Amino acid sequence: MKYVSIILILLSTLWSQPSVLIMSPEPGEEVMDKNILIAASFYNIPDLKAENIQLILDNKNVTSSTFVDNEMISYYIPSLDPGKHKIELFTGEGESVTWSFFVLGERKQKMEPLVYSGKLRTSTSIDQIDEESLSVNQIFFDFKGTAYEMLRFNTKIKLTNQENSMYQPRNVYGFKFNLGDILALNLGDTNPQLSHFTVSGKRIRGFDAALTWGWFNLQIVKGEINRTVQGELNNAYTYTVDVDDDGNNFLALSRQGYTFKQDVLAGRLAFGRGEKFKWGIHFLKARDDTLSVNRIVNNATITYTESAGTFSGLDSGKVYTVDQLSDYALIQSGVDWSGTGPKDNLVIGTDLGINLDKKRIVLEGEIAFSMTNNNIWGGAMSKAEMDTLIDDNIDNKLASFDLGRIPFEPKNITDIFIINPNMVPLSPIDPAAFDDSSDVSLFDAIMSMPSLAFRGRAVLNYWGNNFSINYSQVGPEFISFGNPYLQKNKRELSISDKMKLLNNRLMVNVGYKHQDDNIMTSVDNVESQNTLSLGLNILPGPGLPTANISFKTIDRDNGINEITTLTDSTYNDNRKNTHTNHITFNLNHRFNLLWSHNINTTFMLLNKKDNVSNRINDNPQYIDPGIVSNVFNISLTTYYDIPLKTTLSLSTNSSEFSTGPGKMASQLFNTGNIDGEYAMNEGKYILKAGTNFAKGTGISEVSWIGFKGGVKINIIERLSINAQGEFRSKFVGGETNQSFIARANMDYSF
Amino acid sequence: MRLLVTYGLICGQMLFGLSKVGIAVKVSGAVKIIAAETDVENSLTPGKPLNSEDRITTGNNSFTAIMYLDDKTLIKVMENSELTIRGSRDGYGINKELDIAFGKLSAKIAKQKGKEFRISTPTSVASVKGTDLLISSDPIQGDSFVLITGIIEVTNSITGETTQVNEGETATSTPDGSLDVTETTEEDLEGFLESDEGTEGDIQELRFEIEDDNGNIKQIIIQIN
Repeated sequence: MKYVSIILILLSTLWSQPSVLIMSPEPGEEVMDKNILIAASFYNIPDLKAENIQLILDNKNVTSSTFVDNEMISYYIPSLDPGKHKIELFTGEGESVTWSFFVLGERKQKMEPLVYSGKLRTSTSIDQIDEESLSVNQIFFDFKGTAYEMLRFNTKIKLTNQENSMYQPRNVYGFKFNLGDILALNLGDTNPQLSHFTVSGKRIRGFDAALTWGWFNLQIVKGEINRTVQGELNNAYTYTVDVDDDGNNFLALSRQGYTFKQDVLAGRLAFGRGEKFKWGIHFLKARDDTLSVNRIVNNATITYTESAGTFSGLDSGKVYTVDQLSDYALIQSGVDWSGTGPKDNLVIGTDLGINLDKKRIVLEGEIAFSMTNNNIWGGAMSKAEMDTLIDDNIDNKLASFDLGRIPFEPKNITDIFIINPNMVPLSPIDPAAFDDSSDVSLFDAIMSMPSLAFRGRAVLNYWGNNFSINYSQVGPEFISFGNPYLQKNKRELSISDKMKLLNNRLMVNVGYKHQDDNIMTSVDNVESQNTLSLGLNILPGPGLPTANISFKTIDRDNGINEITTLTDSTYNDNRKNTHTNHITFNLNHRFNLLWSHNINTTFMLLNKKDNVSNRINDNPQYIDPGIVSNVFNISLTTYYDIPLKTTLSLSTNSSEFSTGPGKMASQLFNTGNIDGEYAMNEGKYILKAGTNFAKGTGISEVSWIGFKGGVKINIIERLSINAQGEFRSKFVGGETNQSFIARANMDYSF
Repeated sequence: MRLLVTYGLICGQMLFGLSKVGIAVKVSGAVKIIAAETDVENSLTPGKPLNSEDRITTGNNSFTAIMYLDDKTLIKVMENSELTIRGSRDGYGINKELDIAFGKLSAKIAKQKGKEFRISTPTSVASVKGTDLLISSDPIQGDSFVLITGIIEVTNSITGETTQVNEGETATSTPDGSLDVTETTEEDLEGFLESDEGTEGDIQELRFEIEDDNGNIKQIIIQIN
């Protein structure tokens, strides 16, 4: 027993390794002369008595002014004379620690007139895939800095050989200036963010200026969304043979293959700093410039294909320029062009954000209304023309809507928006809602306006829960040229909760989402989708694997319940009603076995079933939309004692699906990758090599094998080159094809 | 028997002793602490000890630096941020955890030697081994983890996807479940300067202090451009 006690005490002594941990200031550290903290930790020293601890600063005992206990000591000094200062810390029983630090006096700091840095990158790639090849050369130049600490600037320039006047710009010229936190100015190519429904993510070439002054915020965007494209010379016109008033044939030439320059002006005025409250109103005005596309393109060519004799002097099958056809042709004015008509777009909206209880409660909302005109060639309509738009009655009414309620003449507001029969929507609101005898309430009519979009979100962050509820609706005819990526004719409700349990070692996510297109007051077949999801993330701690499990069900229904009978013997079966189960399991683990490894495995199961009952009896020719798919993937990355890293990954994907009435097929696809990376000469050279292979069997027989290699060379500090290539031989459908990809780039930072 | 009891008391105190985990080493501007024990909000001052579950908030143009007691792991909390500092002792040190509600912080994390350093946000969980990293968290926009040195694993708590982030990379984790790793750019590093740092020159100095036989302290200064 006695010897066991001695061993335990010895082990305890070794295990504890008592030592004072100097926290502030570090030995030899230079600090400013204000707000100085002297602190040390006794965490690793057991059995320390606070009453024995003494702190001496410049030979003066200051212990009575400190916070001290058996775990730490801290002494706050509001100011101290410049120079060297000495600390002595006694922990009792004759032990002490001594160190010094330096207090700097007030010094004038120079404002650097200009501080800058930059990066230049060149990139070349050659892709040869089957019979197609693509060569891309690019130069990237980033340059940023500050001037007198107040002005910050940043340039982003990209030049590419893909720049072509037949397409929208591929080169990028971006210049950004910031004056403190007050003014931000972007010139050239910019991606402004005004609001979700007006301008969000679309590149604009012009300027974007944002002023922030306390609670006052103003942002203005002006420029062009699209630049003019005159079109290919051999595709600039179509023609038809027409007859003039004298009965003579002529060629009516109509422009095509062009793109109008599209100008945009957008703005947002907002009040509030955003920490607790922000309310904004915003607008977007975009219109195609009808004068930007040339009506006459003399060098454009037309292939004349009329039969002999239609026009004497013209040979069928011959290519003529527009100039050569001048005696036979009449170039149509814009209203008769066969290409896309010039457009007009107006969006107005408002948004509101409220944060409560230190952002634990977040409330956001936005609503916007749009009007679009798909062809403004004819100009604006008058009220008189609107009167007879739908019917022939001259009663100053558009259907049941009294046109007298419009306080302006549409022809007087053409600078704002052009109103004519090409408007979308033609009637922003159901006119019947204004009829006293209508069964459509005004509220329903407003909520179902086809060009209205709105969204709202509430987020609550309490007791480890992140609860969120979102609702959004985008009408079928809501269009914003500043955000062309919106999914229209959709409304969505989603509710989710993310819970952190067991000290953040278990995360639970549950969610429900409903989507449909039941926006208009009368929709024949409502398409809907309901999604239920449950996810678990298990993160037990260091040295243990992390696991993720997710389960999702998706029910889709297009609202069609009956077969459409066309004739006695033919029919259309457009019914779609499916149920899908989706399960994913993932395991990730870092461990040491000779070397350091990271293993990641994923298993996914998808099972989609047709929910329509008696389908086979109603429609013997239907193809089952069901599919069962299993995917398994395993990946092992190893870091060796030498500067070598290898990655091995294998995956298998098997599916069963229908290929015809009563027919099932399967497809199995196996792939593998082996990659290695080796750093030489202390990272100056990095060599990469790898191989990949795949084999598919079943309804489609495919296989390939590929090899890749690369090298990165850090030539000197901040200058490196990187080259890589990949070769792949692919066998598909009895044919063999080769692909080759080569890429090289050089990076220089300054 | 007496020695065993003494040994047990020593170990017990180490294992289940005080919940103090760190100290505020620097405070600038409006920085508040809501103590776990009292739930009362007070101003945070330099030298104040911090217990597990204490919540810290920084206001406009405010900044604070927190250091853990066991290994000097340093957390710098930028303006307009809120986090809860946590730690559990296991006799070898403190298993550390930061629960970030929102904001920006930088962390200089000492080698954890088998202990855990976990950083969680409303969107992500990051497991850290010994690292310099910058974190920006917004409950609406999502998180970015900019790794200066070391390796971390980031898990998006919506999808469960986990990714490893290496030096010079930035992981972006969003509430809609996406988790991307990209090369760190200058924009990723913006906003992480200390609020009270002035413009220093480009010259860095190393100072060594030696004591001769007579007790005189001499310095060796090495300047690096």
